[in-house]
Amino acid sequence: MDIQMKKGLLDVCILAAIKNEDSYGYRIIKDVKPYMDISESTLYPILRRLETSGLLTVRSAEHNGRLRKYYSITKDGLARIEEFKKEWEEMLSIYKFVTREDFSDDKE
Amino acid sequence: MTKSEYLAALQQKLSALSPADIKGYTDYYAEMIDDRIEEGMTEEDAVDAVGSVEDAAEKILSENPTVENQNPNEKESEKESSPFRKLKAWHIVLIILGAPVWLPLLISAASVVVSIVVSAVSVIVSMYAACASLGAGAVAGICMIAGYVTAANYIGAVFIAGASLFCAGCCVILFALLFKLTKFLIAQCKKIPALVRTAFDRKGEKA
Repeated sequence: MDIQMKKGLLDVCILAAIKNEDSYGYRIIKDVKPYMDISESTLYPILRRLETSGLLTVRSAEHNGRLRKYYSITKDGLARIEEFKKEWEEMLSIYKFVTREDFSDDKE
Repeated sequence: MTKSEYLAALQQKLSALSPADIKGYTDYYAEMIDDRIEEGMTEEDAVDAVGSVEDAAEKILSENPTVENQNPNEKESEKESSPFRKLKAWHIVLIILGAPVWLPLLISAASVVVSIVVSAVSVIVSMYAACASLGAGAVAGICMIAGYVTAANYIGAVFIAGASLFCAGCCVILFALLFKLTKFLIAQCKKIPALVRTAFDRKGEKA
């Protein structure tokens, strides 16, 4: 897959992982891993980027006597997911056009 | 490798970053290791699962402009912006120096526009006046019929009646035409600000 596309998809996957409830690094990785290749070292820069662009916020909370960082999605983050859905509806119609079977060239 | 060894090694590899960034990354990796231990892994397995220090540091550094990388970036952005600033300053100087040339031109252009508008308006107003006078003539003619009839000048009465009908007809036609013309002109006048704007935009694009 195209690297730029993968980057964009990872952003949305991470936002989707915290969409319903706040989550923390390790859980985000476990949630996203079945769908996309993600590791500790790729996650953190993305989380920071999403934080600086205001798509999520970070807070530290105590967990078993240590601090854990929890990430929660913002309005802008939810808007990004909606934007993604629209983009992919467009993509899907393009895909349908590209893969349609009645190419006149093919029949010849 | 224990967790503290891992974090110490990572910290050392990231020394090119700012202290705040280093703390952010080491806290993050500490959390990752702790979460795995909490899930039941041994400390060593957890450290292994997070990936080698070398890989982690390499990825982090490639994502972050280090102190050395940051300077060229800044220089580049200065280079990008400085010609723009110079150009702008140059433009301002030209505008000020050119004032004796463009100011009278601007004033004359504005006065031409104003005079065109004023003359158009006066033509329309005078045509409305002509229309009104035709109407008045028609009314006056109808009034005069009574005078002709009392003087028993029936031919004159018929002539005046015809003339006033003609005036009334002309008045109605002229008014209808004028009404359309005014509407059209008002619509055109509304377009003027947009036209001026696009003209200036084009100049801006060329510059």
